[in-house]
Amino acid sequence: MNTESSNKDKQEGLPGVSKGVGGAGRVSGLLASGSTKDARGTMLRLFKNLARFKWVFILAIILTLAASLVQILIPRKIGQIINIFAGLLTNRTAFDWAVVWKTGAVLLVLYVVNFLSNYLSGILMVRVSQNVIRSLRNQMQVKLNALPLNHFDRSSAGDLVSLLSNDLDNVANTLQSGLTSSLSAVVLLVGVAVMMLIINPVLAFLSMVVIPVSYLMVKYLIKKAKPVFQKNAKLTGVFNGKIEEAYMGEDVVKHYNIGADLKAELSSLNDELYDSEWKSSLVSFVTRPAGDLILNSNYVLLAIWGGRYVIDGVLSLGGFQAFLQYTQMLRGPFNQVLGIFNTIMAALASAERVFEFLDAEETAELGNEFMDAGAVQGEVAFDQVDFGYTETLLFDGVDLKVKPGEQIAIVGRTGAGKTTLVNLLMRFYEISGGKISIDGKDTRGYQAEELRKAYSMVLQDTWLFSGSIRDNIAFGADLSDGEDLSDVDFERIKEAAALARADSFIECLPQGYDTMLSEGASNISQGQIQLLTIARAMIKKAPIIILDEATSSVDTRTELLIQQGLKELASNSTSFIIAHRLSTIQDADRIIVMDKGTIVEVGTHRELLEKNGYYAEMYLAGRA
Amino acid sequence: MLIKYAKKYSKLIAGQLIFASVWVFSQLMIPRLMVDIVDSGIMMKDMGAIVQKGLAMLSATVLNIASLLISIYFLTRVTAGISRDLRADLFEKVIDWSKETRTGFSNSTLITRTVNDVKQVSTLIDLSLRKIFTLTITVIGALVVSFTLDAKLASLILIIIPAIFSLGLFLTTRALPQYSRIRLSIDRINQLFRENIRGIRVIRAFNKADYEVKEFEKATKDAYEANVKSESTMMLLSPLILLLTNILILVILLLSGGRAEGGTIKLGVLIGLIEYASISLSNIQQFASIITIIPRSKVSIDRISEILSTEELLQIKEDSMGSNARGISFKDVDFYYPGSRRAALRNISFHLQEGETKAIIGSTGSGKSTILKLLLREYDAYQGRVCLNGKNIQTLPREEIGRMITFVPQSSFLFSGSIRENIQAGKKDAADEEIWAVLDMVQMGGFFRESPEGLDTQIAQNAVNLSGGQKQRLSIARGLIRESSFYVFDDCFSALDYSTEKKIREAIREKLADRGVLVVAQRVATVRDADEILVLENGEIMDRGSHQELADSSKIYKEILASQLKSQEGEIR
Repeated sequence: MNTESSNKDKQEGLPGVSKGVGGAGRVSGLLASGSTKDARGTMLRLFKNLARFKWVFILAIILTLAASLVQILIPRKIGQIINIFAGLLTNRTAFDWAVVWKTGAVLLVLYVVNFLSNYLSGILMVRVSQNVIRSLRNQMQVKLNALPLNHFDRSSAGDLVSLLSNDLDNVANTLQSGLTSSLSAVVLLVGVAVMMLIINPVLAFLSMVVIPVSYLMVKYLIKKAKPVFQKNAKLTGVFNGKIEEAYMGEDVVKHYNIGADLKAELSSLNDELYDSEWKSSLVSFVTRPAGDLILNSNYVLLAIWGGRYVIDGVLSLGGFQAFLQYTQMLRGPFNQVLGIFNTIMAALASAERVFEFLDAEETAELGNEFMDAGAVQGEVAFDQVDFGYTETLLFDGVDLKVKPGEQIAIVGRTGAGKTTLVNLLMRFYEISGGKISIDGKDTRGYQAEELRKAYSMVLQDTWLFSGSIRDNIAFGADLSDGEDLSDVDFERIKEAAALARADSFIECLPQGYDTMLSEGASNISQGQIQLLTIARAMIKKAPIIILDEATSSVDTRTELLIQQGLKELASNSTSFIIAHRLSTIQDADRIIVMDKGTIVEVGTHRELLEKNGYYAEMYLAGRA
Repeated sequence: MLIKYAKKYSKLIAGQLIFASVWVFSQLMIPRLMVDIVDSGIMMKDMGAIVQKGLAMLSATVLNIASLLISIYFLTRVTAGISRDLRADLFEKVIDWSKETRTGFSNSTLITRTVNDVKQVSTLIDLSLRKIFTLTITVIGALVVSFTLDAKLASLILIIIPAIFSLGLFLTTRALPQYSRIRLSIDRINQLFRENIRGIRVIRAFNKADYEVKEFEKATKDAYEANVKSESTMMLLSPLILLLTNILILVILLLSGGRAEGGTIKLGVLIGLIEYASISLSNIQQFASIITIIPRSKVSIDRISEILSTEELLQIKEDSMGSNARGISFKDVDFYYPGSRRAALRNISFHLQEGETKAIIGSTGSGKSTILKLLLREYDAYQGRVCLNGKNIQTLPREEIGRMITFVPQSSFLFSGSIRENIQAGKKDAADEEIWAVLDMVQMGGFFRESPEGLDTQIAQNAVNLSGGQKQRLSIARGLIRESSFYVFDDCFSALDYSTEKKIREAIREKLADRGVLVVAQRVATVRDADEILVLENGEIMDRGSHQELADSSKIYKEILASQLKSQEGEIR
């Protein structure tokens, strides 16, 4: 839910178009913040990712430089033509057509060069940056699937997704436009300053002195504005959260007659939001006109001062005109340079976070044996197994021997270590001592992927992906290279669904097996989700089956039917069943009772009841 | 639709438009004054004129900034105001909707429409009032001034404008489909990544990492291609228009060359024309790229108006004839979910009196909860009658139903806020003693007495800091604090262990002895004490009777019983 809402809040904008009343959007460069531990290292790393496109990148840079230089030359050339006009009009000198044509031709060439280099460098940079981003995205996802599971215990899914959606995006945007535009902004600033100095040093000084003034003023305003933005962001969050609750809690809201109160509350929040919304967007608009005021006044000053110089003959009319054009030209890059440093730093901070993720340690895989699932007998043994999620051990020398084809039920209170047992069997986590073996072979001889061929499992945490029901069941089947989910035989899918008692409800859905599940499968009930996860496991015929609270949301009668189906399917398979309802596992060959990471009792239902120990106590309490 | 909302703000809009016009006017004045500085100042060597015009320019600059600020003040009030009104109308409407009316609108789309789509619409309003309006009058203004300066050269600008406009439009519309493709592929990328994290164990258990990587690479490739395609098109736009502008300027210069020889053009005019040409063309370019945002906003507008135009389907009918009978009664009720061809309920009849407890038991999907939805009028029966105290439920206002029936839903939804506030959702202004009393009934009193914040203990959004059982118990407590004739429990004991459930059931029995209670459950233990148990299968009542009767005669009930109390069924009798 959290990841969903954070994604919703993400601002979408048509590239190249102003984001409108986006509040902070307009000055995001200036507001962006980020701290980088190793800016230089991150930058180098980023450039290493660019290495494949080194030449394209360099070419793009050269083109950007060319475009900026040409742009600086243009007003100067136009000034020359204006001077000829001025000469004609003031001194009645003859109009020198030859020079005009020549300058015109030069201008035309400059225009075309400017156009081509602008366009080409743009296209090249898009390709380079998009390629880098694509490869970074792919690297991230490959990494995701290679990380040990304990990594996910430490970091939230929302953080990881934001790494992909926000941080990577940040890097992409800066790479694509930030780099070239900052480069051209700097070149323009320097070039224009030089040209201005050449034309008239006094005027040049005058026009440049306002730059720091304007910069400081904008910076000051933005600092003042920050709390307004923050307040608005906070209120937006509060309002959205309230709306979410009002919609999701419809059962309570409607039937407890609290709709009216809720509406009143939402209404006043909405009014507050209105207030902060218009204020924050006003403030975000104000920063620019404020800067403009200084620049514009300066422009006027230059016009007067420059006019005097022309009258005095210190400055040519063409020079005057060119100077004014340069002043205007400063404006764009100037505004850009204001934000660029922060933008780049923020992007580097993002890149660093991404690289940190990509550098996370993976599990070392040592084994190289192959698993022939068909030949596995299904004997499983834990031999003095030690394990802990943290420094403290949960399992301290756990022993367990399971015969081929045996049906084992694991019971115990929450936190007793039932799921941990399964996690270790599946090698979701690495044991720190002892050994686990299948058919007498140490499982560390296999790579995790090979090992898992021996298992089919239904997890406590039900997960289906957004896609058709058909594909979701097919997901359990082994695919050979190049095979897709759609290549899985429909007969097999239907058969698995029937064994899981899911077939009848699927057939009742308007689109049957082609029904698309939404993200989180919110369009079917929890019980139905569990039936599908069971079907998904049943399609994979493996010698060892694990059911971890697979039927907790299914009614007991259906649960029994499913267990029958399982017996039909896998009479020879070894199976591990974790259940919270003791009633459904009484037929198991052996029941393992766990408490605080140790196996406290083992036996059949009858034996354990007669023993009158921990199991008997749990059983009677459950039935009281 | 927007016009209706804009009406309320017509004064502010008028203010915005007036000041935006002033802004454009002063903006255009500046180059015009420059023309005068050059022609009557510099060329005439008249310093006085230069200073005079310069001061005029300075006032134009100040006027320019001032009018911009004022117009933006009006603008932000309008956009924020319309957003507020839209949001208010949306939630006012949606909150009251029955489930039948909600069919087809998931919670997430309702939230998106109230939050994101409104935001999108406000962007559109901002763009139309600010950008599109000012761009248009700027271009017109620039043209008018150019014509007063020199009609012949100005007509050159006029000719090239449609060309630039269609070029901009052409390129942006070509890139547009790519933009939605980008958005879709980015959504897909994020979704796959999110799902990959969520399903990491399942993916590893089934060795499907390679498959996930393949799917993901498809999505990133798609995003790459769409980005490159759209950007390659869009990258062409501004350099190309710059090129055309520059060429236009060059042509103006060359054409004026001949005119200048004849003395029919002034230098200032020439400089002014160049300036106005640049202004017009860059505005036209912006205009062309901005109007493409309209189709995107149109989608949001449509999504919002879809909600605003959806009226509650279950209207309150005229009170035809009511009897004075007491209790809840279902008479021959058939029901189909909207769009479904399979009956969810068939021929359901039962009666519940005050002082009685009835229960409904059945498998997942047998229709248990559906009966309750009809009772609460979330849907209307397809056939038959649902009556409450002798009145057809379709004639009763929702508040009336809410007053008579307390519903404890299956999904124990809690609000973020304190425990006290959550329980008070059941009874406004309930005193702390009352709250403790119901918390004790659901066996949570001790838990909160021990917690340092007591009733002020905060519940996080989605109650992530509580276990499933705790949520269910609080939800039950919130129901128990209400006063009503009937209480309906929808499978809301499922996450509780048997001994806790038993204690809660006993407390409920005691408190609600003289009320009508309807319990829906999967567990036999939950229903066995009811006066009558209805056994539901595939939407039909297959058997009914007391626990004892059903345990003797009902095949389905026996199966359920067997699955839950396998070895020692004798003991439970």
